[in-house]
Amino acid sequence: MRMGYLFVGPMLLGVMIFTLIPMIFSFTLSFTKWSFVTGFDKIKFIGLDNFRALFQDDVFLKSLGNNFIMLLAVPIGMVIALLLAVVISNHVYAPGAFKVIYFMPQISSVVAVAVVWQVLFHPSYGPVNGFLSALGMDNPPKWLADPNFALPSVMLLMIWIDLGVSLIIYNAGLKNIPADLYEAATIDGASKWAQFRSITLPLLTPTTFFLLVTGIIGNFKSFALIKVLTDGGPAHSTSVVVYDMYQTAFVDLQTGYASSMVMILFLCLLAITALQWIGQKFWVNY
Amino acid sequence: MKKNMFMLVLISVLLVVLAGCGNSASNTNNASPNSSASSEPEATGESPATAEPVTIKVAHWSPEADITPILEAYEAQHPNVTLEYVELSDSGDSVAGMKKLDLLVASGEDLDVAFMPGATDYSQRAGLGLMTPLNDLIAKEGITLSDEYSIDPTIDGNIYALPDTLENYFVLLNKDKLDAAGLAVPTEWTWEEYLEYAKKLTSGSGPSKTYGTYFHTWAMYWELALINQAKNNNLVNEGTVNIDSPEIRQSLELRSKAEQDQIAVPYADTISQKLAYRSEYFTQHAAMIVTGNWMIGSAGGSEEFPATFTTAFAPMPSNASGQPSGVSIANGNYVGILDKTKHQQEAYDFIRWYSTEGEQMQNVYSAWKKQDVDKFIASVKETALSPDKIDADSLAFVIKNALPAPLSVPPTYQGELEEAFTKETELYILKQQDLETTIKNAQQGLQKIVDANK
Repeated sequence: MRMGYLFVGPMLLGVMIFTLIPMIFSFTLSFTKWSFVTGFDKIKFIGLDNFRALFQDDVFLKSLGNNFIMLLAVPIGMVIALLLAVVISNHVYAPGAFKVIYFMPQISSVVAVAVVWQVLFHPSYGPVNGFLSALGMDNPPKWLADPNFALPSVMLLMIWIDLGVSLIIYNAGLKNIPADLYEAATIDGASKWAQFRSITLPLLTPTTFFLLVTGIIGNFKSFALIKVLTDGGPAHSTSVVVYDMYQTAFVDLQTGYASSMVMILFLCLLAITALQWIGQKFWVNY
Repeated sequence: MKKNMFMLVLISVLLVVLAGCGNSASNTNNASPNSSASSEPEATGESPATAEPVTIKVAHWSPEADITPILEAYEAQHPNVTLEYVELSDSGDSVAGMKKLDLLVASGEDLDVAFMPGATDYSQRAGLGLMTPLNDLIAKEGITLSDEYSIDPTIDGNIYALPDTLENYFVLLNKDKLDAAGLAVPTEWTWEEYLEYAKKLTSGSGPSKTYGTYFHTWAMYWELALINQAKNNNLVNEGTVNIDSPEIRQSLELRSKAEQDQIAVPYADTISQKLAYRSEYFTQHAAMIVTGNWMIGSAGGSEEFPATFTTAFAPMPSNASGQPSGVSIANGNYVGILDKTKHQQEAYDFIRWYSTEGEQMQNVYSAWKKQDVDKFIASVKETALSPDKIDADSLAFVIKNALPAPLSVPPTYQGELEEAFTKETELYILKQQDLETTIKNAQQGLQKIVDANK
């Protein structure tokens, strides 16, 4: 038994030093006014002032709102992935090739992918708008440069990038459904749609649950794509909490204030995940 | 219970061991510069008068190869001083350099001298208490700062850094296009005439269209008719928000007019493609740009952007005829001494030398008043890749007739102000809100920041 602790010791230590202690530190910092470039002697405790300021901070509230809008990308992406997975695993030749194609964006660097889309979305000469104006659209949207379209454009890219992972996992989930269930259903005269609704969907719920939880957490923390693609602009229309935090902590050098943003983000994630765990009783079948 | 106790003990033991490792590691780190410094005296012992040898760590974002000759020149003159160069960015990127500087300072690196690219970065770091006040050292040397430098770096009565390079603004013009359009190089002009020039210089269509001008994303391009004022030329002057002013209105109207007449690179392209002003200008995508001294050398071409056409220079336009052209806020790099340094006097001697004679050596346009302008221009031409592509006459005219406005060092929260301001102006240029709403929202937004920082 003691040897057991010895074996998990290094791991525990790693978690403590690199995760637990920084987390506690960041929690403490959220009650202070401090900049990380100045020494510890300049830390000033200001109680809940940071949080009070946060809820009057237009940029932060906008970023938080954008985060919640962006969550829509997760279920939409999952629906597309599920449909593609069903089609690919049953109805096409060379399913492996398709899996590779859909997985490509995931293994490419976010920066490279973002630059390619930046050019595709070029407001005046880009292929996307070229196509739209060829279809007879007079004033195609300016995509990344339009405050109303920038966020949907970013969400589109997110769905496209994350499609591969959901697709592969759904595919594995589909493989785990015993074929005899479908056979029995066919003998009973169930239509393809009825089979999908009553066999495929319920038996995939654990997979769906897993994808939903990880997808939402990942979505909440998205940063790289936004940093490369839009820098949170135009006019903060694509800013999210993590981006705002980065800007506050490392550009404006307000570590304490940025820490309080992280705390809010943490609470949001905790609440959403808790809701999902409670909610799963009602729809996930193991 | 017993098991838990055991685990607790084990973890704390491991923690102590690890902390011990950390300590000893940092000890050796600290020791190395000291030991290298103390091994120096044999080599430099021959200078009798000076005190014991010191090592000064100098941080700058320039590539090491550019800076080393100057540091070596200083070491040759001052045998007891060893300069250790800390390169903040391997690509010469000052923004990345400042992040690195902050991280180094935060992690306890014992830097002595740090350079800062511009008044915003300078005042931010001075406000955080990173820099040591130089008032006593300057008084000890017995100089009057305004006799020596054309920039006044005073913040609330304290001087935290010396001005290094001088940056003021002017217009770069593609002379080949200018000749083709039959236009003369302007020596005296207004923003209205600037737009007329831009209109006449616009030609072609589609992806190869040449626009008359290009405005970069920086905050200064939203306040063009403000930064050419001799006084009160910042967004916030002495605590008063300056948005609801004729100058800002004129600046925004200027931008909107250029955008609507399609004589400036569309703002949507600028932000969605993250355009850079160098590539826009040198690929002849834009025929004129408002820019600063750091582009004088580049006008002769660089490896990345060779000069394929002649560049002429024109003074900063004025707001209305009758007002003088060529007025612009003077900004520049600053060099200061970090608060934690142990060698204040030696570091001060070094930055005084660097910001005067050192500058002369590098041939940068410096804030030192005794710099020889003609020599500077001659050497710019000497070092340029294609010297004949720089129009020396107009360059000399612009430099000699420049009227650097005394820069009021911005408040420590200047970065936040600019961010809040450009957010509103972006909505304006992208036609999401009209001028009055923009002015009103920006005025309120900036006032909020000022109040929060009182």
